[in-house]
Amino acid sequence: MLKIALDTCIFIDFFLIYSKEDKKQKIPDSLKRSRILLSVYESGEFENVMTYWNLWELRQVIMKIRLEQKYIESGYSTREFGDAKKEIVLEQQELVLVHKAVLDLWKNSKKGEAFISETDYNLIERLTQKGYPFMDLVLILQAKRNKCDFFVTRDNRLTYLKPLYENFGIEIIGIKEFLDILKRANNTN
Amino acid sequence: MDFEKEDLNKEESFHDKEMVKEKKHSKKRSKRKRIVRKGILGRLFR
Repeated sequence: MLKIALDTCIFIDFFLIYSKEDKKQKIPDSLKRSRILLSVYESGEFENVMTYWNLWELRQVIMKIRLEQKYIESGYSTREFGDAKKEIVLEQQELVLVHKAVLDLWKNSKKGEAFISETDYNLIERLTQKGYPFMDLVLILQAKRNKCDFFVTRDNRLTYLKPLYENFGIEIIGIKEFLDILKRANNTN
Repeated sequence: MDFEKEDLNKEESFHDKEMVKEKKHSKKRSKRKRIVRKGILGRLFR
């Protein structure tokens, strides 16, 4: 079975899809490919590896999305988010919901070891100087460390992330490419 | 805090029971199982 690490943006897509399904809303075209991937994930056709880094980042991003939604609901424009931040926080119930959502994903994933060595710090330092956000680098590194076959991200991030193969030695592919690989693997078996 | 009731490492929760139920059910129809409990994200993202 293929062992991969999914990028945080894909988990966010999964959460938005579930949210829309819960509310019986139409899934927009922009989420259709992620919908297929989620369906394959639900069928257990591949193994997703998560480390604490994935968990912490996902939790933080979900909280940020919910907060920004609250800012908008309260009448703040995106330019006023700085002011909104001083007034609006997540309520206890919202924090519990975030925790539960992330926990479900965590329970359904293979737990990987979260490990960064001194050599890794040097690599991360070098690449952040080139403009790569450190969390992207940490997540790709975790995928490599936990012997994943691929790091899978959204197709629109590929041009930016794919060249990192040279630095980390793990293939970084998009959803479409991964679904094709999975299809081929299933046909061979 | 409520979080402590649902510790990341030791859960014998409602969800696990549901997963077992779904697994049994899945043998009859499809292997698919919903990963995040129903309703959680619908309530979070209004």
